[in-house]
Amino acid sequence: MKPKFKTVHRSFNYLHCDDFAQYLESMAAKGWHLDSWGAGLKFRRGEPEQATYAVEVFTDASEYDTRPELHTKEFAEYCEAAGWQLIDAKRKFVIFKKIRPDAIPIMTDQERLSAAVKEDQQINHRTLFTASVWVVMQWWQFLGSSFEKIAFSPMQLLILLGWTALFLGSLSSVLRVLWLKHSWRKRIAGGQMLYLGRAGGFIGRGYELALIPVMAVWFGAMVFYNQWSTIIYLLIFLGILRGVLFLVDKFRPDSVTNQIIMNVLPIAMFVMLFLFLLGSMFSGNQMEKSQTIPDWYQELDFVDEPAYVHLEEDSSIFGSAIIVREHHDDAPSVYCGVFESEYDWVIDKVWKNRTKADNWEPCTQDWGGEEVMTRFGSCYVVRYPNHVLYYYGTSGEPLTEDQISLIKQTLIHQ
Amino acid sequence: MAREQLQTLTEPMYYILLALTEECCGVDIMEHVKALSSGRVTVGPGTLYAMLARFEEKGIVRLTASEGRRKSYIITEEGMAELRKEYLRLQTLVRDGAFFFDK
Repeated sequence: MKPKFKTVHRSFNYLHCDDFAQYLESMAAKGWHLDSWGAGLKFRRGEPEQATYAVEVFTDASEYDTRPELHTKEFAEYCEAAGWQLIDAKRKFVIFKKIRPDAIPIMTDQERLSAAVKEDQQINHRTLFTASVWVVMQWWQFLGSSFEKIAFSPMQLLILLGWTALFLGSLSSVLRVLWLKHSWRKRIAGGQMLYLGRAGGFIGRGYELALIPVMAVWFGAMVFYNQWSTIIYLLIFLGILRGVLFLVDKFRPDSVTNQIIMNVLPIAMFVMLFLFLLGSMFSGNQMEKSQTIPDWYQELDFVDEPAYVHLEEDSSIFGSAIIVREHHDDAPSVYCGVFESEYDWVIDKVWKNRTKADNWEPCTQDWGGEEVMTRFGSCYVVRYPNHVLYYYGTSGEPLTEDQISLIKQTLIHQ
Repeated sequence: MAREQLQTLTEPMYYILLALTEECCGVDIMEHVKALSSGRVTVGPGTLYAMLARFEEKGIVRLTASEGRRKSYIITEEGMAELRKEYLRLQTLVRDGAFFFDK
C-alpha cells in the first residue's frame, strides 16, 4: 500500500519565496499536495494537479510564529475573498493555493519585493552586526596583545578565519540584496515580472556559503589535532539545538511560548559552554609533571614538585610556540616560552608585545641573543634571529649563568 | 494630534477611500473598488490589508466593528478632506488637459 503522506525537509529564504511556490507546484503535479508545514513540509497523496501556489512574506507576522496567528488569519480572510486559500504559515511565510481562476495577485511586485527584501535584510543585518562585533574583537586581539596566542594556534587562526568569512559573507549578502532591490525596481518599472528566487538572481545568503568550507576545515582540524572533547561537546550542543528546534516545529507552540523558548535556549547553551570550559580547565591543567612534560623540559627542573605544570605546544603557518607554566603553592612560579618563526615581522611583533610594558631594561647577562631585556630581577625576554624566548620567574632572583645556559640550550636547541 | 498627511493618493488608495465613504467590511472593499471603477481597478488583498492598516494608523479611516477576524471601516473627516483634496486636484488636471484636448 502506498503511503498517504510524506514529509520533506527543505528550507527557503524570504528572497526565495517564488522558488518555494514553484517547488510546491512541482510536487502537486506529481500528486503530492501540501497538507501542513510543521517539522518539515508534509505532503498528502492525491491526484496530480496543475495547482498554483503563492508564498508571501507577511511583514505583520512574527519570526517566532510556528503556525498562522491572529494577524495572519485576518490577512488570509482578505486573500480568501480574492480567491486564495490559506494552506499554512510559519515565521513570516504564508502559503496560499489558488482556488478561483479569476483570483487576483495578493500583492503587487513592488510590494512583494519590499516585503521579502525587508525581512531577509533584517536577518542579514543581525548576522552582520554579530559577525562585525566578533571580527573586530578577534582582529583586535590578533593585531594586539594576543598575537602569539592566535598566530601560532591553527585552531585560533581558523576561528579568526571563520568569523572573517562570516563577516565578509554577511556584508556581501547585504550589499548584493541592496543592489538586486535597486535593479529589480527598475526592471519592474520597465514591465518585467518579479521572480523571487535563484532564477531572479537572489542566491543564498553569502555567509552561509562562506561558512560551509570554513566549518569543514575547522572540523577536519579538530579531528587532526585530536580535539575530541570539543567535538563531542559540539555534537551534543548541535544535537540539543536540533532537538529543541524539531520539537518546536513538531508541536508548534504559540508565538509567545516559542519566543520564550528561543530566548532561554541560548542562555542554557551558554551555561553549558561555561560548565564545559570550567570542567576542561580543572581536568586539563592539573597534569602530573612526569607524565605530561617531555624529557627536554624535565631537564630544566625549575621547581621541585610543582602544584601543576601546563605545557602548550602549537605550530601554524606563522611558526611554532612552546609555553610552559609551572606553579607551586609555596615556591616561586615559572612562566616561560619560545616562539619560533622564519618571518621577521612575526618575531618583531612577538618581541614588541613582550617588551611593551614598563620597567624593561637591557640585560648584561650572556643569553647569546641579538637583544636581551630584563625586569624585576627574574624576568627576561631574549631575541634571537628566528626566536623570541621569554622567562618570567616570580622569585625576583636573577638566574645564574648555568641556568641561563641550560634554558638557552634546552629551549632554543631542543 | 498632529498626523502626517498622505502625499498624492495612488489610484488604489483613492478607490479604497471612495469605497469607505460608506461603512464597509474590509474583505468586501475589493469588490466595491472593482464595481466603483467598472472593473478597471483591482486591489490585491495584500495591498488592501497593508493600506487599511496605514490609513487607520494615520486616522484616515476608523474601525467601526470587529466580529472575530472580520473588521469594518469607515472614512473619517480627516480622510474625507484628503479624498476631497485629491478629487479637486484631479479636477484641476482634467480642466488643464481639456484646454488642449477639447478644442
